[in-house]
Amino acid sequence: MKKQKRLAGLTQLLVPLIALLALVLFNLIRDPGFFSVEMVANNNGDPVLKGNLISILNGASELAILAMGMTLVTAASGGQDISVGALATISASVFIKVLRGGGAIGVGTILLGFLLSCLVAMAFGAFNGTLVSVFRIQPMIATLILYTCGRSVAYWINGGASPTVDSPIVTALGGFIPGVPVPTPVLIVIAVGILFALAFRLTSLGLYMQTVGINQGAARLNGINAVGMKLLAFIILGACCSVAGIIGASRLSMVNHEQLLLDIEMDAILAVAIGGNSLGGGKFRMTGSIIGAYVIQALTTTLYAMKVPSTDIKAYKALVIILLVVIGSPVVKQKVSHLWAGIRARRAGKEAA
Amino acid sequence: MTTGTKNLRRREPLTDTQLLVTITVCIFFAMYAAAMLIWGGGFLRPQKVFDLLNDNAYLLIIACGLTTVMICGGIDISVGGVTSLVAMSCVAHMNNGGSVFTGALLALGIGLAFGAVMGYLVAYLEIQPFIVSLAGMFFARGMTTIISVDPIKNANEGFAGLMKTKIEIPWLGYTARNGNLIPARMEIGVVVALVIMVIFLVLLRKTKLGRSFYALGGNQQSALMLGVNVRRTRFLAHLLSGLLAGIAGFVFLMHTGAGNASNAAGAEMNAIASSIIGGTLLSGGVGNVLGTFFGVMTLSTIKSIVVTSGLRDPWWQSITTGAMLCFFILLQSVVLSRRGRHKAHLPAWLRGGAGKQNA
Amino acid sequence: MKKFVALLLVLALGLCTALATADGTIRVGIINNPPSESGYRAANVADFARVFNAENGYEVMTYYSLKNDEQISAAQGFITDGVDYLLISAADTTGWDETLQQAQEAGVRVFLFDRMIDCDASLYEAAVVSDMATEGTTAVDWLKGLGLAEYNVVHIQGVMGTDAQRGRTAALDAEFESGAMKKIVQQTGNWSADEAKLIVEAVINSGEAFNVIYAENDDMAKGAVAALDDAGITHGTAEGAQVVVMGFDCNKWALRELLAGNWNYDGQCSPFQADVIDGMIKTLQDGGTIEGLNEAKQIISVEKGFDARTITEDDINAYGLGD
Repeated sequence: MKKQKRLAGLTQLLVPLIALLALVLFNLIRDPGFFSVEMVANNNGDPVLKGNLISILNGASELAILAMGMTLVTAASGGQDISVGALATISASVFIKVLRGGGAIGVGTILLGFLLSCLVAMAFGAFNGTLVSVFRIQPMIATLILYTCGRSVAYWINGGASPTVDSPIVTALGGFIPGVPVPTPVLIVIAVGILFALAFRLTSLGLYMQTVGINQGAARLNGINAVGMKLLAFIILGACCSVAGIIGASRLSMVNHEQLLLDIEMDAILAVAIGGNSLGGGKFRMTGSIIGAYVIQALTTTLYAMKVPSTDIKAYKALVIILLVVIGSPVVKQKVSHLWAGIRARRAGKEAA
Repeated sequence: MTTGTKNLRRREPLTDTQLLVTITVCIFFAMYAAAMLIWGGGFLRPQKVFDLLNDNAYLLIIACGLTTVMICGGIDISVGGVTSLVAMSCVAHMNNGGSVFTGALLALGIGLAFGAVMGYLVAYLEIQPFIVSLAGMFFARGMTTIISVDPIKNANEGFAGLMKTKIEIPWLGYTARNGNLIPARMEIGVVVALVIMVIFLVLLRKTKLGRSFYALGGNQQSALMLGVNVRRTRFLAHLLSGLLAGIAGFVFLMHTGAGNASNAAGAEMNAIASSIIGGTLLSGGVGNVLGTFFGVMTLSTIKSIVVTSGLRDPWWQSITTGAMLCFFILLQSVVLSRRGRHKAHLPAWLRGGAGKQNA
Repeated sequence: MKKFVALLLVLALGLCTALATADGTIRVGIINNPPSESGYRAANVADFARVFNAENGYEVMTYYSLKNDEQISAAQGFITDGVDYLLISAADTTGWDETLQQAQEAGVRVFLFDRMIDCDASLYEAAVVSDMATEGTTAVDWLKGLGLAEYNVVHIQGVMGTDAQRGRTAALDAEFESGAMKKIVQQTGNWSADEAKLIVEAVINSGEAFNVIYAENDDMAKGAVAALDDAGITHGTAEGAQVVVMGFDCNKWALRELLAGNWNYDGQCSPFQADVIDGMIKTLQDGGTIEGLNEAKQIISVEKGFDARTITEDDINAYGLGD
């Protein structure tokens, strides 16, 4: 029984892993040096890692964090949150505003900025969560509100086109900490991942989210506060949005309200789906979503490296996504498992003979 | 809602759909009347209504398709992309020697192709409609830019003639500042949109297919047991949505006269919002094309009001739209919950009615 | 039934209205991109807000959108609302013919600003625009003036189809055609710094050599420079710098980068068209005709490019946008 469960969990990861493997092989065949990593000195004189692999890991940071939060929301509420891009922009806006408020920017100001932007994002997350859990509105509809006006709210907070900040700490946050060759966003993703892993290991968070998503009535009968759980999922997603927004703003020490993390909600939902998680809620594996996020980024980087014009990238992305979801679809899986069972039966028959 | 025994003809209670549609219609008229009273000006001219119709003809068509798909419990966010692709393909085709007729056929063909492929993936391979239509959207947008990165302006004379043909109603017109009498003008696209709306109204209410859509959205298991061919019905819903997106693309081209990579960007979200405002529920089983029509009109009126009201700061426009959307969504939820349909966990002060009263 | 009566009422009301501006204020409808699009746009919107407001005798309605279709709808709404003048900075060069003809029929006078629309010149009064093609040739001429041994160019374009992108790309494309410069990469960054950074990262990682980055606006140049910095590639005016960096728009922060020697060139794109249009409107109101237009009825803003070696603090204060 346990073995079956473990197998079932692993097979869910099969699709994203195969996708990643396929991309890796494709790139190695096309350009054997694609994944080479070298250590160079950046223009500040610090040693940093450079290469396509680093590009992929670095570029997918915001997506990975948002995918983690999105997995939780999808699992608990059975719907998708399409406002994460707007929410991240609001957080980034608050962060930049706080930094531009005081004079010199020190670690204290940054912490204050982070705290404030986190609170604001969690408040908006709670707004979404209330609409979904208390008013029983479909998540996609509820988050349509912020999707429509979130970026304008972010712009209103800052009232300027692309407000910039000038601080070495912020540059380090979005780029490299002097002396550390790994990009800081990657470190942040690892930290957030560890936080989630600890939360799942030490508390029943994962179990409760899954239960609420699978059968809300049964969850309530078992004493789980379904409304509270869903609200919590959205609040956690809000916090993830705030981290993603801050990373996004720190990369270039500025926030452009129209452009920051544009359309990332679609990529986040895709990452969750590629990770084998059901978009209708219920059981989830966060590892799958994280792999899904890197698959998407690897795909984009591959296409750029192949000099595919950026206007065509969407079409290729679509084809790969279709391929992946078709392979991962329940009907295809059934057919494959029938085939597999048939082969095993025939083999068993041969052995018996 | 049942009247006393005196009335022999028992009035049936309003269905969810009817109630929500009624709310939308009332709010639309109230808003428009308020606009006429408060700001006057353009709102007092019938041309304003025709402007709203002309600009949103393609959105109406898309929203009809989307309502159908949503009634089945699915979703299709590729419609904006397909519209853009169709517009670009048709203008490229007609500029290179195609006729208006072949252009229209091309539009239908592309729409059907997208609808068929997505319908197959959703219905027969049971893949989540969101992902499939998201991929469809990416593919359509990508193909649009592959056809041409720069905008293409229509050079086909037949089509230009078609664009200029408008239905003019002089007695609904107004006198412009230079003394010219401008008749009220309605584009052919609007006629197409209204015809489609009527067709779908009949389709959804009166035909067996329409009823299977509602059955499917209400409860898939029950529909199966009722003998509804679930897979085929779902496939047809997506097929229709794709077809309508194709028609919408052609109508869009008639309106703007040029193919452009960023055409109809965000149209799918506008269509979803319109359907929601019009009383369609994303969970399926509830929806009405008439409501969608008023949803489209309401959204456009909101935008128009925001612009006319002279709110200078650019952010107010979408914040106001978002706030109105929030209002509608909450209203729907509260109304449905008080009817006991969805049993939302409303706070005590929103509950009430025939229950215990909280002080 | 009730709905029908309401509809009839609306129609009846509509039959008997004529619109007049009772108090002589000039009604103006302004259609532009949202100021959050870029520093240039913010300066442009602020300039128009400074000139066109109630104190100066204008009744203003504004609409901001990045989407061309929404702009067209807004324009038609303004025409029906009975504005006297329409000021348009179109998101796209196409799709406006119908609307402009309707404006002409209703006696609404149209001014174009910032960028052109592809239509017949009779449909607008005047266009106060930047000559994007000249911006492109000024930049390319400056580049040729550097006299480098070879030109391997990473070309980061703006949103395809916009007037700015077409003008700034045309000059460079001509060089690519003639073989004078080599095109390493030509991709659109959609005016976004993040996309530009990804594009340049991909080029760096592929190992191809390049020595010029031609970014069609400041934001994208910033993203490109960030990628260069991460990879330890030197740029700017320093001795032995590997890459020449070019941007457009002349935001103050960008001009400071020039002064600091991190970038090499920035092309000016003047957002200050409001005063000129104000003057022209007043001329028309007094019954005069507009002077100084070329054949395409344009008034071209005089723009130049700034070289990092010659730029001064005064230049930044005089020409820079934003803060």
